[in-house]
Amino acid sequence: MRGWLAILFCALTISVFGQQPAANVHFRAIDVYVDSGSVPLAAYQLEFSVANVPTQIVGIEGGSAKVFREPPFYDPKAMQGERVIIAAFSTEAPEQLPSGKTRVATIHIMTTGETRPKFELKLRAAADATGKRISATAVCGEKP
Amino acid sequence: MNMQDNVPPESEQNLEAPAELAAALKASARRKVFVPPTLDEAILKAARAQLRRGRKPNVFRWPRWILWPALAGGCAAVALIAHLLAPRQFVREDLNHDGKVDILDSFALARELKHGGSLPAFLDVNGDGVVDDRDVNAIASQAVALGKDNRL
Repeated sequence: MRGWLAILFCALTISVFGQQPAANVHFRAIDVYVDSGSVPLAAYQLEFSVANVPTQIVGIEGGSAKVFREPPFYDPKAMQGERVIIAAFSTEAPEQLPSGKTRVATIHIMTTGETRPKFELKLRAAADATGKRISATAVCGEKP
Repeated sequence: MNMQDNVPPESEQNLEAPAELAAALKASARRKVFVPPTLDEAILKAARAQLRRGRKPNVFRWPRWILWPALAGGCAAVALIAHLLAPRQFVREDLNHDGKVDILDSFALARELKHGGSLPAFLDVNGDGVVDDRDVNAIASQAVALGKDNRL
């Protein structure tokens, strides 16, 4: 009887501790912004990556502006990786397009370790409603 | 200084040419040698040419070994110019002909579709026989594809 109790105790212990996530795994949400100044933003393409800590991209969602609310285009292979290229466009009229600093996407990542991740963001293209390239900047930051 | 150092040796002190030799030398000095004017002129011309060559300014001359590298550089420059002037080839998806496939190409096709009108068959990127939103998505997918070529 005691033997069976010991086995049961061990099994319960293993199952409980086995389900505990590793203590140094963090899930983070990174907001990505594009600032097109006074020009309405119709399209963008950028590359996001994390290089200094083990990272897995686990999700990508759209932004705050109505025309960029849908998740952007991305390569599904980027999931579980540390680098992704995202892009989106809208064929709406310029009045419907956002200008200034706009949140265009949120990228969810899982990092391992206590080191604070450094995000790299490179804007590859931005265009106005006519498809003409415009000057813009991209920034990102972790959601508090 | 020893004075005897300047005195020639005894064998050279009483040197005198034989009388015949002295007479012949004196006669040759009096005799006139005829130089034809054409020869005189030719000699003068050659002398002037020689002097002119001597007066040439000392200009920098390229060393001979530089010929081949210069020739190779010239050929490379010609090839580069030919390459730049040659009509550029663009991939089908590069609709705006900026040399890369990105979201702006997809956006360009989407705008064309929105405006309506007939679109050329080469825009049928996915090969399903029609130019539609699926071609827009195909170009966008190519634009964001993770490959070694599109790393920033």
